[in-house]
Amino acid sequence: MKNLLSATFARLFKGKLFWIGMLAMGGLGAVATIARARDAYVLQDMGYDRPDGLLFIGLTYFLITVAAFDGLFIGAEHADGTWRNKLIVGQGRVQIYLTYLIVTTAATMLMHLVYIGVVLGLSAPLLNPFLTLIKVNVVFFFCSLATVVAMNALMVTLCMLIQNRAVVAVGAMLLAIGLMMGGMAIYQMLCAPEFLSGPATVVNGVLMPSPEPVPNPKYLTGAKRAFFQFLHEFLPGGQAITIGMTGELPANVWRLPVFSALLTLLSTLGGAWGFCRRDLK
Amino acid sequence: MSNLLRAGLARYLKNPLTALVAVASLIIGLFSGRNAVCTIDDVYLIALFIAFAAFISLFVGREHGEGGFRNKAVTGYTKGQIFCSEWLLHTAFCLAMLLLFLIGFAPLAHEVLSPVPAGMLALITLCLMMMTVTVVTLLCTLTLLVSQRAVSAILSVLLVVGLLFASYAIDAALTRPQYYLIQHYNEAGEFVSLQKIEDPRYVDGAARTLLTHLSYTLPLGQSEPLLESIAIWNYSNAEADHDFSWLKIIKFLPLYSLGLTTIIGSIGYVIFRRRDLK
Repeated sequence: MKNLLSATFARLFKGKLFWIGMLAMGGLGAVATIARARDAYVLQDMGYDRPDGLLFIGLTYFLITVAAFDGLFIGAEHADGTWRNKLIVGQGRVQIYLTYLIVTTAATMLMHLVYIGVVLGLSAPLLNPFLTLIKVNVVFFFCSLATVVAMNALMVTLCMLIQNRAVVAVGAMLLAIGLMMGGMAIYQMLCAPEFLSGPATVVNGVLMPSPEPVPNPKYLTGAKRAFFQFLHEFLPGGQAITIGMTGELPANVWRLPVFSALLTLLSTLGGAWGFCRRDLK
Repeated sequence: MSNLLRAGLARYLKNPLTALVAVASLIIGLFSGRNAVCTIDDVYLIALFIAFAAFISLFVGREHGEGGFRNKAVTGYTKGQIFCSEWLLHTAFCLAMLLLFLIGFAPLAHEVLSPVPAGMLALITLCLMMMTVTVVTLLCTLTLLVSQRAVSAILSVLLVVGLLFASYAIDAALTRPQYYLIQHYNEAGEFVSLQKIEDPRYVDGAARTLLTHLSYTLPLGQSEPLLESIAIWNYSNAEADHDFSWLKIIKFLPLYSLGLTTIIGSIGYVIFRRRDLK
């Protein structure tokens, strides 16, 4: 497996794909930070002068990067018949699967770290320090690493089980967009207020009271709420939103890395099992 | 070229992917209709366009991969004819899928659509058709020019997502208020005064005009005036409350679509004719 790993890492660093991914994530971090700095400059004293909320927002879009990278990197091996060659020279299927999992995990982790590094590096001279507690950012940082591993494990499973390179690419992108949109939809459902009230109005410079609130029929309760809460915490799309957009530690933050680990384990076991039974053309 | 079209039609109808995308379009329409409150959520249009991206990139990519284009060129067809036949086929199939989307949507969204006058519904349908033609032209041009199947598939989906983000960014810039209202309270928590502060990021003048036209030109930027023009008939029963400014705009949306389709299609046609088919 050592040989497989060194060969795959060599291919990773020699190819353009990895560097395009690094550039894309670094660019996203730079654009987000510079846009915030511009807002801080034009809107002084309006609370735009700090990098809070920027550090992990890239994670919400990271699924697309992981899908594109894994789809193309692993898909190329299908097309070139590399797996069959590796089997012929005596490598095991589980070893091949784990090699891709380890290499793509390292690559996607580096892309995520580049985003965070660029945001931290640019926000230090351009913006004021974080208002968010260091403890919160550190906990979210480790949670985000676990989420990246889970995202990648899910994509690797998909990419290793479909033979056609183009179908892999499309399938991975559709899965990424589905997880992103699904995560957003579930988050909005969970955030729906229990009661609805009309908007407050201003008449002649005086703030008028809002109408009496009424119960919101879309508010989730009981088992339904628990189910959607579980989905939100379990799926990478929901985890990315919790880490990237909420800005505060949820009550059971330990569940995020635990669910990530569980998803990684399940998808790897399922993927390796399926890959061992596949007929490699 | 009729032979190219006939052969392409047979190829597309035989492939299970066509049936799969057709069923997906119908299901997206059904979901859209079921969840329609006042108007359609544009997320369903995006899902439909992503399905188009997958459909077009996989079919065109297959032709690239299997040397279908080269074979056609060898048998005497010009690259221009190949480009036009692919564009016509995809446009026809995607319009058929839009129809399936509407068949799924309309019966379930009857309550939302019934207050809208028939002429307005016809105009909205025409706009949606032209928007589809524009999206197909963009996707067709991209997939015909990028010969690597997997790369073109990923770029196609990214193009639709990119169009969505571009439209949202332009919309956010255009709908940003010119002034911020800051409420001041005293120590007892009572409201004291309201301060009006101008937002320096407010887009005005020539930049606003440019962004407005750009928004109407981008396919997903058109979705807001289109969907808003359905919503205004559902907001209130009092006709006086309706904001008819959207209605004046949507008459011109097919022209914006036609303009973008012509420009992108022409560029794609010219570049494809000069390309070396491997």
